[in-house]
Amino acid sequence: MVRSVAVGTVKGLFILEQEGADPANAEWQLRGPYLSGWESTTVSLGQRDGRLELVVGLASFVYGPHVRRSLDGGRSWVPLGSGPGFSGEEGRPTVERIWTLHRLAESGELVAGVAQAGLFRWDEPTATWREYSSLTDHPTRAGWLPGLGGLCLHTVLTDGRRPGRITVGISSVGTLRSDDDGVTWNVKNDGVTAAIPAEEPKYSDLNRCVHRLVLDPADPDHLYQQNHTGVYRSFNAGDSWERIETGLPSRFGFGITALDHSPTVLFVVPLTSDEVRVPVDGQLCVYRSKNLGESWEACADGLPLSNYAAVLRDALATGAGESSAVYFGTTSGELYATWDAGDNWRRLPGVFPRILSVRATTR
Amino acid sequence: MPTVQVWIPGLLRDFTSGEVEFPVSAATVGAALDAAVARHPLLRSHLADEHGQPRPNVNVFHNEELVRSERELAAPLTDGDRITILQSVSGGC
Repeated sequence: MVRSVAVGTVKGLFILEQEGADPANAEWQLRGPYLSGWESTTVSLGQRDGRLELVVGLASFVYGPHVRRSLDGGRSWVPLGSGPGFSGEEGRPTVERIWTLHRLAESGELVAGVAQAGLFRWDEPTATWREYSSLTDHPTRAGWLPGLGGLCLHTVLTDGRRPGRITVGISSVGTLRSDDDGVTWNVKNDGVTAAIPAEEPKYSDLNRCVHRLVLDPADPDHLYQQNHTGVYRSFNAGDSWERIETGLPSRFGFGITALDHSPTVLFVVPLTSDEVRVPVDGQLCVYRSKNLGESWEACADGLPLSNYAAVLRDALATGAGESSAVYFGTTSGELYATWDAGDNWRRLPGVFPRILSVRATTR
Repeated sequence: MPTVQVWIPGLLRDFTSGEVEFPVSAATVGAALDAAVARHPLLRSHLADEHGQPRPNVNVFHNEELVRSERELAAPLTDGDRITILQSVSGGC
């Protein structure tokens, strides 16, 4: 078995790989950086014909964003067209950054979530990106407010058990869901506290600054979110939300992920507050829930005792193909993993630039 | 039609099949940029956004002169001129 971890940083992409069944004792090989000079803002890992497929969202403050793919483990890269771009003339939104790449559960097609709040599907036969224009032109868009990272569409969720459903998270708008393959979209923020009040009453259900959404692998109607204002769950696909914060030292954080385990295990990495975005008391600590968010427990064995680095929303991920593996990277460039669902953590080799995105898979 | 050399910065050479410099025939600075994009279409989205607005931190030099205005884009070229694309000096680490 080969285990691959892709690490997207502000200075390029790195890949860690190891062979063997025991991840705690096998040696890691570090490759990269690939695509040096470009920010690797988000990574998608998959397999094609038994080979590792990497798709990376790239950014440059000079040359703008685009997407590239590698089918040989990062050794060579091909741009996916010119990258996503909004239709229309000046005054329409522009693509500022690729925030997430996701494979649609039904078709396997690749979609990209971007700032300013757009969703695009890669059409392989024509080598073009197709805009979900009904999301771009959503009737509430005039009330959408950007967060510090822009008006970013950072999460896309689909599940083959719910054909036609696409759920997206947009900061600082909230959750939107389509049940017809992206033709129409509805805001799904009931029960979530607003980050700031809306100026106009007609937009009173917006300004819910979702930081990350995750879908329960065991039940596609169970969603969880780390929001600017707290941690929430929904048992009806986002129609209503409730707080789940018992045991957490803080409501604030960015990442949330769910391990395909029985029962599902949730993970968050709380930060002190929206004003103080470092781990509480300088203790980098992952919190875990084994009861669908009813309560959380600290799991820090193996994590450093004094560490003020944060974990960004795309830098906390479960390992595909592994039932107990979770990985995360920090803003100070350290990478950690657990292979026993959070009981023990181990630091992986290397000190990286600021880590934006982490993905892992086995083959 | 004058023939001029277009110079490509390091990060954009992935979109020119590795070409660092290449000749184009064009009458004006703007036409030379259009010709460069015609030769390597993937350059387009890195020089301007999807609505055609130039990216603010991409600099274009006509010989030693920074091109900033429509008038400078319309400046006539002569054989042997150089068009240089450079990122602006800014950023931090």
